[in-house]
Amino acid sequence: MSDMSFREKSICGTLVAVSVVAALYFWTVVEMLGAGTVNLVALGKLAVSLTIFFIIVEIVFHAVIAARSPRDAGESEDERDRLIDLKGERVGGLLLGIGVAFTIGHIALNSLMESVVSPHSGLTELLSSSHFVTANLLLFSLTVSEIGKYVSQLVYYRRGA
Amino acid sequence: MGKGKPRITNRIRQLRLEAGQMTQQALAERVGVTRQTVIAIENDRYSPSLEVAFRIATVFAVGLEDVFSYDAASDG
Repeated sequence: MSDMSFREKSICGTLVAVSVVAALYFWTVVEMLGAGTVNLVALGKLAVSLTIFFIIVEIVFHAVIAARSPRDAGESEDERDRLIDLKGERVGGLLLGIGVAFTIGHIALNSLMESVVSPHSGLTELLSSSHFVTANLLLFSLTVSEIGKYVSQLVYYRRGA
Repeated sequence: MGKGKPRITNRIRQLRLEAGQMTQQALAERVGVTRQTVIAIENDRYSPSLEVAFRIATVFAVGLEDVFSYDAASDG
């Protein structure tokens, strides 16, 4: 990590923080769905805690890397940084688009199922949580797109833009 | 860039040495880019914009083609 620029270190730190926070959140979501009991209050508390944790980690990490290389941290972005940023955004946008398309498919399939499934079958319970699943699918898509953006930016910094 | 043989190569490292061992940081400050970008250009990992290319040539007081060369043969 010693030969990395401030921006690369910043992206690496954010990538790790986002990945850890997302893993903890979505693990809980999957566990809740597996158990068949969605506790929105508990999940809300977890989301707030993870958001605060993420902000603190970001502040501390950036303060540490800025203190270790103050000259790099003070540099404003140049044309290469902007190009890599744009290319990363393009990758992230593509991943988000795929996630949104998948979620639209999920909504369409649920609507279709609701019209054919009898109200007393076990499937109705699953379908009742479809808004929860849809919201989390969108959140998951957003997270994957952010992770894809950071990974692609790191690749462009290393291999050339 | 980043794949195969680079089509745009440069002599920046050599020109820096000829200009009294100019550092990458000093060149970066005079051109208005980061040191990392100068490193990327020198290593053929990034082709700068025309404006930055002209600024680099101006720093060394040479023509653009004395700094950068284009391998037209790789166009096929």
